[in-house]
Amino acid sequence: MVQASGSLRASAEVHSLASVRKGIAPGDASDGASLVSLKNIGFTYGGLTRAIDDISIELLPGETLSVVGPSGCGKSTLLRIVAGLRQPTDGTVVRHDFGRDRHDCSMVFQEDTLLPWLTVEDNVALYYRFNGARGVAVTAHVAELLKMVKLTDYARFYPYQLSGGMRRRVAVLTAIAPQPHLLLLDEPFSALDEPTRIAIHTECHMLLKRLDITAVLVTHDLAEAISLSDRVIILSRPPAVIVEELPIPFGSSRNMYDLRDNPEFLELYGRLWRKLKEQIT
Amino acid sequence: MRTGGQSLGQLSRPDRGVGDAIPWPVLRFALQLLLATVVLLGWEYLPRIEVISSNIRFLDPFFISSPSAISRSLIGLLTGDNDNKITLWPYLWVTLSATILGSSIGLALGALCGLIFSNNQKLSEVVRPFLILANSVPRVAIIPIFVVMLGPTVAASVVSVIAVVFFLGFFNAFEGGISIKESLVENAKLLGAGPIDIMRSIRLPMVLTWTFAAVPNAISFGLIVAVTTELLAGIPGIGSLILTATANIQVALTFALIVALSVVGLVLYWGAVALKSRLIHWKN
Repeated sequence: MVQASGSLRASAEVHSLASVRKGIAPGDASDGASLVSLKNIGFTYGGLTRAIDDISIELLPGETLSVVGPSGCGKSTLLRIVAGLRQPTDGTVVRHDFGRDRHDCSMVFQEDTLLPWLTVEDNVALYYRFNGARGVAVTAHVAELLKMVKLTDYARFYPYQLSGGMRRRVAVLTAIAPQPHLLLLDEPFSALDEPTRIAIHTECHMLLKRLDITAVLVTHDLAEAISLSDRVIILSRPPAVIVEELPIPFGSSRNMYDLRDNPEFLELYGRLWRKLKEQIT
Repeated sequence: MRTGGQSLGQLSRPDRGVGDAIPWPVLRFALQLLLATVVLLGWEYLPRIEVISSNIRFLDPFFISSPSAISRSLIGLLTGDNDNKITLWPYLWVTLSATILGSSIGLALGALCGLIFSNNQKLSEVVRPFLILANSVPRVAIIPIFVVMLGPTVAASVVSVIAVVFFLGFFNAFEGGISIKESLVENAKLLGAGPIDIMRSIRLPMVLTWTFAAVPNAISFGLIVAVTTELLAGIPGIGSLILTATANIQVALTFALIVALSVVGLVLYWGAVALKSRLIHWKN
């Protein structure tokens, strides 16, 4: 695990304050056990359409898991179930060892969720606004995050003044600002062009590893799944079950630009594509 | 396609017309000035040609006066130097105060109701048909009711303006409220926002944004309704001055009042646009 910088360590006090206010149960997420267990999850839309059928996943602390599958197989629904925004029709979600020092769970949505009337820095500090924390520590933490993705000069800008890539960066920062145990990414980069997407993959991967955040990424893009993940799961057509689970062996420090020339990357891509093709044809 | 005798440099530039020599904003202003001059000169001199004015009632100076007579009448209105010994200002104050007060109250009430109904789907489903029905009632038809209730007073003007502007504010605010994406609220919830945070940080700003966007239209409608109420009820505003001038067949004075009203409308509109831009400066 990469150690947090001085400023980020300082910001841990901010998280701690906010967490105590929210009454998050104390715990320890560093014992190697799974962080979240999905046990036999099933979901039926409106009592009629079976979207998800019996999915079980153990999410390990610090890992990034990608979920890939055909359209309509319930990937986004699965993410919302993990977030607690939806209740599964069947099965249970168990969250283990969520410590009190950090926020539980954040999400980066496919849609633009920046508040257009707030500046970039105020959007990034949204968690603190909602939890009544403010002051120098919050400001310093937000400045540090903006610096990590080279957005310092845009701190006082409004969302409409940013490019699509910048807005996505701010959305990611807003979600990771409270240094959540769990970050859920719902096709967050699908609307971006390839060069911007690879640049954001680099930053996003760096942030996840540096801040030790466990993440689940839902995506249609196999290259994105391989680039960002430690593990990729492929879901079947609905009702979805897991048809393939593949570890990604590139480690925590990887160069997103060089990765795509890597023969191993291309082989993984081919394996995933063949499996996915079975589900979409 | 390249043609004989032309260089590539020439081909890469579009053909330059005469208008390209003058910057478009300057040319546009010159054309607008020319158009206004032609209309005013035509209005001034065409009715002086006997054969035209006697055959075309629309160009009879008895009915349409002339720009020179109207400007004299307007100056007289502004300075009080006229046969009726009246100045525009007290009448203008009545019309303006009814417009601004009525529009502000109407928008505020509309925004409040829009916020409440957009936040409660069942409530909005219950009352929506009634609101659409109420909005479809021609407002001019109910102005006399307000006049009977409140008398020919400024209060009747204000209430009439509120009755019109309320719906403008309400429907804008309501649309703003229901346009809030679910993901915006879900994101806030995951970041720890409670119902009050969501109302204060998401719903209220969104509803106000849409309401502020309606300010220029609200002011324009407000002015129309205020003048209409004065015309119908004889409330001492610009509307009643127009009524008096028309009754006395003072065509130049009537036109002078219309010009004054147009200028006031334009200034109010510009003011409202500036206010809107300031209030929602973050909206491109």
